[in-house]
Amino acid sequence: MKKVLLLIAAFTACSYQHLKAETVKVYPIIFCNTEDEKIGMSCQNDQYRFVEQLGIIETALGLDVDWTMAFTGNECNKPNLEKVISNLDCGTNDVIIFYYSGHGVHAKADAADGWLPQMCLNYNSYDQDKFVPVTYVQSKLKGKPARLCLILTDCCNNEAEWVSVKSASASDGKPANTGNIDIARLKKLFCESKGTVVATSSKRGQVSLGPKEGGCFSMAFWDEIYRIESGQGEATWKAVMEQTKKLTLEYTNNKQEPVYKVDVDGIGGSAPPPVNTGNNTVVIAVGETELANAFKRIVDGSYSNTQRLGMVDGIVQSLFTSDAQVLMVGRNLTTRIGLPMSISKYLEELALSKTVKGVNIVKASKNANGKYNQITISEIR
Amino acid sequence: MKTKIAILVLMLGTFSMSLHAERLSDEDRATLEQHALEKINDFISYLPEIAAKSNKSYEEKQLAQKYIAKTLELFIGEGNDYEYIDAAGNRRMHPAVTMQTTSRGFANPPQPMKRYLQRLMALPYQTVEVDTCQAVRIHSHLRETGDGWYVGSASFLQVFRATRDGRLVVNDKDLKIVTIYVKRIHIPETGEDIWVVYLGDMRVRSSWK
Amino acid sequence: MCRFNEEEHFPGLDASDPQFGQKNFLSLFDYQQVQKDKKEDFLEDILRFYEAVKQDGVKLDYSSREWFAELRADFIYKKQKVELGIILQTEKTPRELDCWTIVGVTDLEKIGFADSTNRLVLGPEQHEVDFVEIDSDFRSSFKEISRFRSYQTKLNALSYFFALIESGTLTFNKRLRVVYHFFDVPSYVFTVSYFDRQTSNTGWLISDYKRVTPAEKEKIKSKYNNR
Repeated sequence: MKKVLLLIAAFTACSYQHLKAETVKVYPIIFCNTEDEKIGMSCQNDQYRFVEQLGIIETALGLDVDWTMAFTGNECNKPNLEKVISNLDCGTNDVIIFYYSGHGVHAKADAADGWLPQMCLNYNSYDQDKFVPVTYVQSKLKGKPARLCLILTDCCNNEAEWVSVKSASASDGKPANTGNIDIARLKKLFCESKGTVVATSSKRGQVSLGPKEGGCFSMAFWDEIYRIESGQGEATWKAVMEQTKKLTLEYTNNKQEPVYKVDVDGIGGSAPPPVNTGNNTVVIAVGETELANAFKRIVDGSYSNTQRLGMVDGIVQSLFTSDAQVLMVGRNLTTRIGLPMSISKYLEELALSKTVKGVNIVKASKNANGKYNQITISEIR
Repeated sequence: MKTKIAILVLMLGTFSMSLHAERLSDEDRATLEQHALEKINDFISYLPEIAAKSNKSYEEKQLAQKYIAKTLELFIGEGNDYEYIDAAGNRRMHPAVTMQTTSRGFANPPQPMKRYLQRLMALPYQTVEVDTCQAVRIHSHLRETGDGWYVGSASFLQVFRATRDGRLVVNDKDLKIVTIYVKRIHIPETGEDIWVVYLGDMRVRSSWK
Repeated sequence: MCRFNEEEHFPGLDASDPQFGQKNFLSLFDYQQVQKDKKEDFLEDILRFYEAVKQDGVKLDYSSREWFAELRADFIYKKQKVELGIILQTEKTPRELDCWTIVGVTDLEKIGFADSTNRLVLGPEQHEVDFVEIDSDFRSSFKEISRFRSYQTKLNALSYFFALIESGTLTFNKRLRVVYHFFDVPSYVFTVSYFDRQTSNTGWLISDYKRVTPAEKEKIKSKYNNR
């Protein structure tokens, strides 16, 4: 009797799981700027990868995916985005996955956006009024009854004009098949999780990199999903995003750091935009290692202003003559700006600066004793 | 408006200033406009280091005073009255650079920058945030005003938030206009030109709710 | 100026749109000057204005002598606040450098300025009595002493204003706002004012425009430059 009861319970559980899977509908909303002359190929591959990988999950879990909401090329535009989100009608057990691959910028002087960028879709820089903030998508999808909502954007988050995407090392292309997929772990992510995940490929001020094979963030994300499918890693959205972030940093030589907010099953987790820890300090000083190291420390925001001020005398005494001068040039590295300054005064300014992120030591000259008596600098902000 | 600093003239004993027929190249102009924006950003970034520090530790107060000095160095005259020559060649005195703020959406009368910074330090708030809003734009290209001086203006958005006893008591957001001065100094020994950028009066253009 | 000259354009406009120029021009206007039921008329009007600009190839320029700035400011006159308009224009100094100078002042009639054609005169015999009448004229008619001037002499409002300021009778209180008046487009005059709104119809916008004859244009201009 006990065995029968157990069998019935198991059957019911399986049926329930199957039923649960059957009733889970997934709504991927895909916007990819596939016809941009600079990044079109990369976005196209992002779109292919997304469709391929979600297709695997669809097959493995028996999900019902609505594939009608993919917008690429000229269709990757604001009216379509607004319409598709507005018309989206989903149930309480459904999953929404919003995915964008294209250009992005950070809204100038708009504190409301916080860490999330604006999606340029297929518009140019002068059409800024048509850019759509990710916060718009976030707030609209919040109003939908879906059980799980993922918002993933692979785009720049800087405040510059147009930045061309540089090549970065690609990840290995992982084979696509459902034969050896860890169903339980995938299910935990897509069928049993409730909440929201919002992630963007780079923190405010950074560009997002991507070779023609696709965006580094997108590749990192799917690589991590593949690991979960292979039975490795932790099958929670918090762990997935944390690993995605690590992989992205690895793929881009620490140049690109995704940021995310996970609020799933009451288990929150986020990588808020980090304070300048000095990891992003840039000092360019060809052949002047000692000098570079000294400047790196003095602009390192992880030290307090008082600590940085305290470094000035030591640096001056060890590396410079007492009358050493600093000449400044603009970003073009030629136009002389500002009056020549004593090295102590300049280092003090750097120690107090909140906006200088690094220096480019354009020229440095030494006296007969090997101490620097003049350096020419361009500040990096 | 053209400006000149008498003190600067004394300091620049080794340099000579001469009128040059050459105008600002497009590349120099773009570089200088970028540098002016950087100065505005520096100004905004220094304000939280100064605000509401008078009731803090000695170390913080000392640091705040350093930042006040740094801030004044960004401005023409360094917060004092200054002499200048106008476009017609007249030698004139200009009152010290002023700063205009808003309170609850209303523009206050402008006050000397030195006084503004000292008052900022003395504000009785628990926390103060001055948002690091980017300079919005330079209005138009720099215009020459004679004797190696150029002048222009820019707008920037500034948000000022302050809390007391855990409550937000000030939340002002306003669009400010600032005059920008650029001085060309020619070094005959090397044939180089050095460009020095200064900020001028800051006025409220409009207040946003 | 850049948007008027189509060197810049309103964000969101498609440069390949055949009506790009008209739409960009329309964006220069304060829409709140349109009455709800007069929208079609307004649009037609703007189109006509645009055609006039295009036909004559008008470009606004900083150095043009066809635009004026009117700085509205508060002054104190006899302990009362009075709002006047100071008119400025760009000009070149002898050093060939740009500057703004004051060319006129408006609303001086608020403080009693009147370039009246009506004259007061001294009697024809006054040369025989050492102009003794002047004593009483200065005492009793001092408020109208300017009416004793020659029939050939016009009063200059700007000089009157400067005299009041320099004598301390009229003192500056504070700036209020600036508007700009443009006379560059043949048959039109228009005014640009600043609108501080949270919508896209904000910033410097054409707040008023009029189709005028050359004579009307000169008359309006002379009001600003006191000529």
